[in-house]
Amino acid sequence: MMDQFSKLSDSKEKDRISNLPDAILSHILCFMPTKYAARTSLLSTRWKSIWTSVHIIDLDSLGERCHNEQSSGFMDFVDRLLLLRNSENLNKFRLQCRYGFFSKSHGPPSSFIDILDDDSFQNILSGCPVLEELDIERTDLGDNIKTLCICSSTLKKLRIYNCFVRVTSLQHSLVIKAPVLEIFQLDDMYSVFDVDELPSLVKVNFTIYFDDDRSKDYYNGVVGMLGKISKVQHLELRHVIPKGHKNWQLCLWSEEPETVPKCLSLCLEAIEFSGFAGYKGEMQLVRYLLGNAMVLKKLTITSWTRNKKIKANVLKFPRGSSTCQLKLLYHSYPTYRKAVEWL
Amino acid sequence: MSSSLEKNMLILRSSDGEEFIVPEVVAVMSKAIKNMVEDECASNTIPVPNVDANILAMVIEFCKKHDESEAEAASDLKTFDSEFVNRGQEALYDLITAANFRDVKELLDALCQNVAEMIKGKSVHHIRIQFLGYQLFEILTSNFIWNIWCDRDFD
Repeated sequence: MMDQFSKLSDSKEKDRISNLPDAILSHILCFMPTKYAARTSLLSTRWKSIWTSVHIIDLDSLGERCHNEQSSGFMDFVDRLLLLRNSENLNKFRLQCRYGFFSKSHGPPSSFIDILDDDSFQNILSGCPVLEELDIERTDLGDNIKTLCICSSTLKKLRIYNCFVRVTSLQHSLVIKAPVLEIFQLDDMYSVFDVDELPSLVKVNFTIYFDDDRSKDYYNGVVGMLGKISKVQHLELRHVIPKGHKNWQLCLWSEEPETVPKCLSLCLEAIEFSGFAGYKGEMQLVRYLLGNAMVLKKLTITSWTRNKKIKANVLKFPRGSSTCQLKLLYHSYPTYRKAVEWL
Repeated sequence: MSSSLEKNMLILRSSDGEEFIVPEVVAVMSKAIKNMVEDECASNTIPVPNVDANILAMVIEFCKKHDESEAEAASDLKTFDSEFVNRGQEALYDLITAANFRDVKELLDALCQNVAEMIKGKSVHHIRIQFLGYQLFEILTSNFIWNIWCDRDFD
């Protein structure tokens, strides 16, 4: 018996991981969803309260069965988590949820209680007075948000992915007031944009969609956005060509904007345009950008086509900047291998 | 800096006295060393107490790779990282302690991420077995058999 105890204590020393300092154990638990971090409290007394001092909260109700009692199980977990948390610092908060939970007792099972609307989203944002990074992903219109309003005086990095599976007749809009925003990534299919001047922005990545379904407001919104980004040095555009639209003539705008956006004439140094397929509208856009970007140093176009005529045309476009270097790459879609020179 | 040493090179001395000549850009990936260099309180030889030659060599290998491959594809670096951190608990413990003590953020994150993978999605029983190695498992099973054997004896 003694033998066995000494063996056991030997093996305890072998558990080197649990012997690491609290701060590191808590750092380890940052790399996983809160659900799993909480589970470590059962490992041993050493681990009992480590998870309560983790600086992130990462919740995912999608993995849970959301029907009936199960959904309240998730909510109970969140309640308990907030009670037990022992750390005043929260560096990251991630919540992935269905837009609504099926209600337990009211009405038919298909009715759900919407948990997010314009106001409740506002409440979340206004509850984060030092927020610097925000990442929003909406993949379904089931939430109740009509106007997604992002107003934050501290936000530096914003990524919005607004691509819906279902198309509704409702016009969605996106309002952004973020005076110190520096990095902005936008992938939006439907919204009408109402964006205030973004004076601190330096890096932009837009994914744009042009097909017959898009309203004129959408086009104008995208072009209008260029006018709001006065200090941007690095612009990335990604064009997504919807399936089944092989032959249409992509038309970006009926008339070029009257005034050239400030960022083009003053500070834009690099443009990366990917998903280029040589459509009329894209050629128009490239021509416009090349002709009006006065301090551009590099334009990189990654294309799905190797058409020599298109290449020749692009090379012939007048350039506003004499030092502009043009790089054309070919990227055979959908194999995501490295792009090669477009010869 | 001594004349025999190339410019921008530093000597790191491990706890057991072995010396490594390392480019400064690589050495300053450790914030602790960076602070020493910036405050100019470092001579050309920087002692790295609590880290033995074996572990120090690994840390340098990691930093070198990360310094070189800044331009390389991120996926290549990821593969390197996952192979690098795939070690036994003893080495993991020493590396984590070294990375924490010397403040090498990238290494610490890669290592902690690796330990996190050992925990994530696993049952408590499974994590225990992983942390304690198979020894405890053996003890428990042998204990179990021993109990059965005892029971039978008392019958």
